[in-house]
Amino acid sequence: MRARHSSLWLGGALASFALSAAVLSLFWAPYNPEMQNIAGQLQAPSLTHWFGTDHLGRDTLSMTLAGARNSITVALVAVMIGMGVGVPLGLFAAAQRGWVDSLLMRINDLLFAFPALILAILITAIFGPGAINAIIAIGVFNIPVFARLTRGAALSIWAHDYILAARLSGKTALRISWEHILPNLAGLLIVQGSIQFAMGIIAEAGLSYLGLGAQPPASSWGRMLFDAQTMTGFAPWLAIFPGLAILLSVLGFNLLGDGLRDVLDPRQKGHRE
Amino acid sequence: MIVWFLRRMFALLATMLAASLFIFFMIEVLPGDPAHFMMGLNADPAGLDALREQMGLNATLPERYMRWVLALLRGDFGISYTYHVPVRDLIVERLAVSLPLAVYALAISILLAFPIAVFTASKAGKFADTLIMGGTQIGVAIPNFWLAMLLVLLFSTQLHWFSAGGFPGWQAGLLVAFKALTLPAIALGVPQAAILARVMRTSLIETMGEDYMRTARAKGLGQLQVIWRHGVRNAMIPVLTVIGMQLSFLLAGSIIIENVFFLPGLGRLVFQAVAQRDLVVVEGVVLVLVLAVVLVTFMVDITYHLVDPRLRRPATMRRTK
Amino acid sequence: MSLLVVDNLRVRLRGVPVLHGVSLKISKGQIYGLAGASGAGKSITAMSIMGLLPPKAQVDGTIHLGRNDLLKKSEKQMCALRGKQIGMVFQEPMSALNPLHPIGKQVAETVRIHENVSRKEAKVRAHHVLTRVGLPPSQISPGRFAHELSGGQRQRVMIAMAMVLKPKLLIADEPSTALDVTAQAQILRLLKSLVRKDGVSLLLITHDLAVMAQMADELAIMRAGKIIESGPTPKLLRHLDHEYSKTLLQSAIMRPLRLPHKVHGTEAVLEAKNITCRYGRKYRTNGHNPPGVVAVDGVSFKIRKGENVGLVGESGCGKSTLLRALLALKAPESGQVLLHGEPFLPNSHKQTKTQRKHIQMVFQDPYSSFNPRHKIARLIAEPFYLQGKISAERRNAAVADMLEKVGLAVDDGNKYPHQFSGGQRQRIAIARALITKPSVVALDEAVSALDVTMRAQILALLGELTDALGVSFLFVSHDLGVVRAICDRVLVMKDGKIVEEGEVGDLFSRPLHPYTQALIAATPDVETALEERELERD
Repeated sequence: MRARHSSLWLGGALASFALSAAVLSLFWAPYNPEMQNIAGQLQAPSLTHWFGTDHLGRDTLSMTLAGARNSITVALVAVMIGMGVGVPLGLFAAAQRGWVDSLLMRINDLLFAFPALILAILITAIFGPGAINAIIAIGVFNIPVFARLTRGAALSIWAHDYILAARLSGKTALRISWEHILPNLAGLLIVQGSIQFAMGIIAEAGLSYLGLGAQPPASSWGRMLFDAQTMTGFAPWLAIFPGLAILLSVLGFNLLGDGLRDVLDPRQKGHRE
Repeated sequence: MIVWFLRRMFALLATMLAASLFIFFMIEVLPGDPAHFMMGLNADPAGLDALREQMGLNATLPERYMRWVLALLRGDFGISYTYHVPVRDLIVERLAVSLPLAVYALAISILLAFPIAVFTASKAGKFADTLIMGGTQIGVAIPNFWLAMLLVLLFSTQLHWFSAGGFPGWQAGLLVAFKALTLPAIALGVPQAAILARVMRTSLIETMGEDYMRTARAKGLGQLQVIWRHGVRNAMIPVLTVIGMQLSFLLAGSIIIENVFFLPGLGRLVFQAVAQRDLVVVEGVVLVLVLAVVLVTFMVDITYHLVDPRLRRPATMRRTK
Repeated sequence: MSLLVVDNLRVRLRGVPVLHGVSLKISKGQIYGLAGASGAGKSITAMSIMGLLPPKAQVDGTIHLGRNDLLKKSEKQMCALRGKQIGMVFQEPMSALNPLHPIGKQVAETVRIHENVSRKEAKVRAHHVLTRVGLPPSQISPGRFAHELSGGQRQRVMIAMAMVLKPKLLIADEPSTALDVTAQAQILRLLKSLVRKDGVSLLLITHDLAVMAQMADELAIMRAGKIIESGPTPKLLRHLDHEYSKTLLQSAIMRPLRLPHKVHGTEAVLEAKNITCRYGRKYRTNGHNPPGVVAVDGVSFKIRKGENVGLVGESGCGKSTLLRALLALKAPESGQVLLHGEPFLPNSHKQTKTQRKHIQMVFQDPYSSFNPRHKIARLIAEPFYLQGKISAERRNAAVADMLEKVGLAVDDGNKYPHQFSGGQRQRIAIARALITKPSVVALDEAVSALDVTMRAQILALLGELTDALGVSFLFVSHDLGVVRAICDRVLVMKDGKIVEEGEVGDLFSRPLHPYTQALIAATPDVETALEERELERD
């Protein structure tokens, strides 16, 4: 029991650390992350530059902070897109069943056949690279995830007698979905939201590593890693700090999701121990 | 069973058709004039016309789609705009790297995950379990291309055991080729192994709490025999889904890793094609990858029906997760 | 000479004592009944004998099977005893059988574990025992899987698995509780004949005293981890000492609560006219009926004002589907439901909303009947949605009034469902069903999930309410005893048709249809069972 809660606390701490780094970067950074200083390039970590500097003399710490802002914005908006479209779709499919359900789920399966990366490639092939397109690609990928989850959980709630009681009270499917189904799904959705958030951070890093995400001079963790790749031999800090930033924030949101599941989702409780 | 199989086949074809329509729409309809898009701003009218002619863009949309699909059925993916060779040849050539890489990575994932899952499930709640599960959390969170960079840093730059990238080709010998794929496969496989181990452990623990496991004990089977004879197969059912998803992910997801290691695979092909605006190649590769995902899902479904007799009856109950 | 001797057995699970010194003796060939409410420690006792308690359980005392001191045996030695000398049958045959292995293989496995025989030989033995339990391979293929069998057949497979090696002791933990009445009677008869023929001792665990009255030679009553009294069954049940045992027995014997032949109005509040339904994809109630099959076949009946009607039938007979049609949750394929003489159609119709307040429902499972996130007052007030806007005061007053009527406190309105026991939840469900002052309330197996004492209380409450409020109850149940206690008239349903209909007294004393006769004969009843056994002895 204590071990479980520890994942909630540790995850919460890491996640809020990542969030506060992102917020902090809005107001303050040790240096301007876009300011180049060729004279001071490739400095190892020191008291003046905690994370060192890159080949253009930019401060790695400031860039990592700015990268946090980029990653978290992309992941957050992508989760919102996924939830905003997927949850109503799932609720609707569960309430309607029959052919509407089948059709929606087939479309869902089809979307599911396009991994986020492929989707992003398609989108950038047409519209060119950029943070917005990365958001759309990851967001669209999130839609079937939330739609499936919502539909499955909603179906199991529809089987409860209290839904029948509500129908006997003359309530429509729409009203029942809003009043009875959605509130009972909230915990599950928060948990999945946290996990998709973590996935979004990884996916964004991957896309910007390929140059399909945020474009320079904006900072992103993936781009920093791409730039660092040829220099790992003599400037390993350039690869280590952004990578750790990704690892810790993803770990944080995953742990947070797991911890929340134990607290919020009573279905899991019976299976523990 | 046969009826089910035919219905499933039909659904497979329908999904493939829908996927091809979607890709066609994205690539040939959304950009407006693909020829113009591919040649960029400084295109000369004569060149444009020639390209339009070559791509068959002067016909109506339905005609173009039909022609495209019919050509695909003949195995004709069109001619690459930048390489000036048939896209099919490119894909076949690159698949010879991507497919073995995906299978190699999947093997690593399964071989790592299986013992970890069995061990932690048998020690559920104990210190060793908590420790290893904490480790898998890190494994899940690690971006594979960063892991790849760290591997290169350690095994190539420092230890010089492996080369930092590139692929000598299969003609260089099986061992040499596999050696070149080893670091990429580890980078791809380890995070997947962490995911798989977690799923497998949960499934094993849940299965161990089932009533029929108690029945088997009441028959006189020992704890280990019960897990082996009655537990493993039941616990594998949810794991199958994840393995299927991993294979699809590894096929498509190797795009990044191929770029880290400069491997001439499908991912690198499509990535370069995007940079060079070679829509014909993008279209072909994306189609192949998506069809692979659909096909893998189909095969997982078939396996389900072979493993689980409950799915074989006529009135199909929906599979619940 | 006793076969099994349990002496002063004490068990702690995670430090919590659950058995406080249980002692019992079972002689060879004897059927020993262990009765008591859920949580009394019956199953823990059984699992202690099997040596299958959770890993960290602390066990004291002794358990002897013949000369074997079971608590001193190593795990390996226990494995050799389980299945060979002690067999066990569990309550839920569906989950107790491995879904992925054919039944024949599962039975043969017991043989292969303990005896060094060929696959073929084990198969022959398995087929032999399957024939003995009434599943001859010529009719029921041993290649079938658990999900392809009925509940009764699955339990037969379990019995075959436990009996194939003719153990000395068979433990049966609620072997018939999850089954239909007729299947239950068959399984009990089978168990009894098998153990008698093979000279096997049976430790029978059930909460149902009527079953005990039929089956057990010796009976022990457990409460809170102790045996409070024991003795030869008929004698013990005739002369119980403990108050608790007496309440248990009183609750098991259900006496009719209604006056016979009470005159009701002639006006029909609810009428079913020639209703036919098929199983559809939508709202399928249970997994085992394929769509398109006729579930309800031309059913007609009337419920008059203030009359309690019982609808009796076994699972799969079409009761639930019929109920859905009656409540206008689903349109019947043909036929009509009339509520106060007017057609009652599913939600999409305008007048349905005003009609709904006349008919409400109480469900079987008190745990899934309420949205866990809402407070009791809000849950009870939900049907007010039908009446449009009403003032908060009026609503609160009605809820408070209803809470008192069903025997709860007004304060309970501020609590959440999980703070209540199963019986209390059924009271809340009744309150919700009655809040709109309906003319008909359908109760779908409303007391099946409750302990016997709780069941008796709820039935008494319903008896009071029907007279006080002039409401008609439609009591859907598989349990004839319950229907007999609360209803004026009974409809017996089989394969989608009403096969017999009559006043309670007439129907039970002179059942005409063979199916009704079989149902009544199969329903365990303490009095009848005791009388029969006393006759046997004389």
